[in-house]
Amino acid sequence: MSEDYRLMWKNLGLNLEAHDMLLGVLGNAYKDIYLSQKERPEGMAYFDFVMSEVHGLRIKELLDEKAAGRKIVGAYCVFVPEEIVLAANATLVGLCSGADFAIEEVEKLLPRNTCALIKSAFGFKLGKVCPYLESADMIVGENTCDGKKKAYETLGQLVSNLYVMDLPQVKTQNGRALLKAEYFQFKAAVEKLTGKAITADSLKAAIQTVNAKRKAIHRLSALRQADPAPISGLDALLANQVFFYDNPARFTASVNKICDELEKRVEEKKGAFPARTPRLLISGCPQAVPNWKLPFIIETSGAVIVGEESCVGERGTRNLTAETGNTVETMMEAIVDRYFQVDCAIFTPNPDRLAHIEQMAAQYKADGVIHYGLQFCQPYLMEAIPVEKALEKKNIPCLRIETDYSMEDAGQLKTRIEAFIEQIKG
Amino acid sequence: MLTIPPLMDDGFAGEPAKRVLQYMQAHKAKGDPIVGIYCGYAPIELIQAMGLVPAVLCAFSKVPIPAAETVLPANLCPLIKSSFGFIIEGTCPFYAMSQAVIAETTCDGKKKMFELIADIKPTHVMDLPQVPDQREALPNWKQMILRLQEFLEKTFDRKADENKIEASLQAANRRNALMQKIFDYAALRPSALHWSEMYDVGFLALPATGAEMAPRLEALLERLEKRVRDGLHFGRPDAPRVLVTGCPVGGDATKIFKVIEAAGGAVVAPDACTGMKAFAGTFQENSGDPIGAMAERYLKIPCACMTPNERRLTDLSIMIDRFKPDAVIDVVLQACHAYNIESHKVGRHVQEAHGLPFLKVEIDYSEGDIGQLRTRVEALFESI
Repeated sequence: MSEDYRLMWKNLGLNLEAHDMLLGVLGNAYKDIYLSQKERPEGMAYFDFVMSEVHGLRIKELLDEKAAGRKIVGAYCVFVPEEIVLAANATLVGLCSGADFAIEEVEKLLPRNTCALIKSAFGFKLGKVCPYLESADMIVGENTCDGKKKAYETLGQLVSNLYVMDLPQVKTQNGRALLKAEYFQFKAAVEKLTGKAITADSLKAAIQTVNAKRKAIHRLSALRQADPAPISGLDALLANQVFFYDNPARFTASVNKICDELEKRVEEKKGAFPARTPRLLISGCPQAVPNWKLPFIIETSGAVIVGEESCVGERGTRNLTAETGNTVETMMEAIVDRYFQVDCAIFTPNPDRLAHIEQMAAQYKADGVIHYGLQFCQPYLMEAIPVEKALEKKNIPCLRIETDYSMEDAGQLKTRIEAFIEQIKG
Repeated sequence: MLTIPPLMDDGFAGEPAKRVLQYMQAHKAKGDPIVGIYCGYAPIELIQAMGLVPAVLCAFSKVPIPAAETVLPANLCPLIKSSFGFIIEGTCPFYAMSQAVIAETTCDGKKKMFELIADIKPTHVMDLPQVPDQREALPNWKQMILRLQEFLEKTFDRKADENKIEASLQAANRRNALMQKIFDYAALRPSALHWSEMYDVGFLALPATGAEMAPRLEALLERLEKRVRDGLHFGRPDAPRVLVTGCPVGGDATKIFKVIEAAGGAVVAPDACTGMKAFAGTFQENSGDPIGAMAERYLKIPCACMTPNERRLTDLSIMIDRFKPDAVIDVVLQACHAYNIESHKVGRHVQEAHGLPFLKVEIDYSEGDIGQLRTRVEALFESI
């Protein structure tokens, strides 16, 4: 990394020493996990570059945007509508939360038995190593699970620009009305932040931009139906992760370019893994950068991941926002409709998710499902029970995993996953 | 304590669940339908106005937990595991006699647990707002109470008009006011009321109607007055006074109260849904909108499932002024994220605003941690 960035990081208030350490670990992990893969699509070079510059060039771009008068909004959850942010002339970025950091400091504020994702978000703040968080003009939290809802009360004491959005827990008319009220309040808050009113034109353009991004990911996902799978699960996950960081238009173009290449691969029956490699679907908690532990173990144990039923994956990207509206009001309604369909386990009951998992398993011709639960994440750990039952009924093998961000259980996980893959090969 | 005759000398002293069971059985024998509830947000005044009897369902024994863990994640709060275990093992008499169950979206664990038991008995889930001060919260919660009313009407074929509901609220206000007078005896220094007596009274006063309870409570108040006249009190006069806040505490979890006493302390204020919280607040009377008045009072319950829940700190301050504790102990049931995370704020408030020592304990229903709890409570008392 050049000296330029060091000055930039320093100005952002990062702890340079800790940040160097983080980048060192991240770089090595990326090399070991990503660059060691065989038969990668050439287009992945773009994501290699993005990752090498994830705290560098991308941050510089964001700061340039800020200098030009744009605002940066950071979020932790797929319920924060990017359409609204873009339409008000701001940029939405996902905030860091995929690795343990400054755990000792974190545990002074949060209980030890809080899920790794929440602890990680705090760790990046307390350790001063997340340039996205420090660049953000507004940080958006949301009342999803108990852990996050209560942790934001504490995070609010650490940052000056936290905005918390309430979310419904039940998908009734009341629930939808609550989401709508929250989205209108959020719209007002973002407009106030940027000083720009959202217009029908700006909202329409924003919806189209975000939909284009989703459509590119849909295209990528559909190509993974092929056997041999033209792209590894790790690489596809990376594209889903970068979805939250990159410039939307550039991301869309880059993913589409990879898809062009993958189409050829499918035609040529060329895969990231040999044909008839056991195919697995991952379902459950989100996997943020650099949380690549589970897919790495799976794909070095003789299986290929063909889909992610996750917020960093198809749960987050599957539905488009209707583009037919011509007024701000109708488009806002369309946005509410779109996000109200997200089948996060915080909803009760949540039968759509079970149906979606079954549908994905069929669509991507998965031989089995690995349910990924972060330790202490009660909504997903509890919902794993009906998920497993539903899959059992369809004779789809399911393995429930409960883990965190540490590598301590890597050996044990590998053993269990290898056994599961053996069982599938049967 | 042994020298003081029990406050409720009906043969059930110290066994509030057995007393309530007898109460339920008497109602059942009369043909009154019983509705199971789990939580302080269940609007019992509406249930009672409809001629139904609310039964608090079993959740405080460690016995059914191993059975629950064959299905549920082990990393779940013991209250939820116990509740679920009771149901799948069929060992909760209150559940057995309930014809329907009222549930709420309080915490993630409960919310998802209700999904797993929804097909066993008619289960009605009330969607509880999480941000009580938000504009939509009150109308939404009022609607949820109206929906519950519809559910109960349909399930039990019973109705209640506004007058009945208003009367039920007014009776509850009377009962709550009397309960507060009873708690005042715990506020005395030294305390003339034992925590187990607060439980004896409270566990019955919750499901019983205000009309049933008022004469009983008045009789108890006379007894308490006599106790004071006779100079009777619990523990040493200089025993450290403890306010216990946090998660609901009952059955096997009351080990924390016992540990506090064994260490020489006196539990003068059990602030929890199982303690004084259920009798706090007042329903607005003659508002012309009794369901609205009900919604308003219930939304003021400072449960940690609410955010940001500043009300818990305000209410704690009032309780500290009233009960004059020497220390505050925050009881967190293991894996209860809401109370666990909120404990940080509570601890800061207790220490900074009141200068009181504060101890957070994270417990389950087992006996394994009693020794360690005792050591920590003793250390807390040494700091006083």
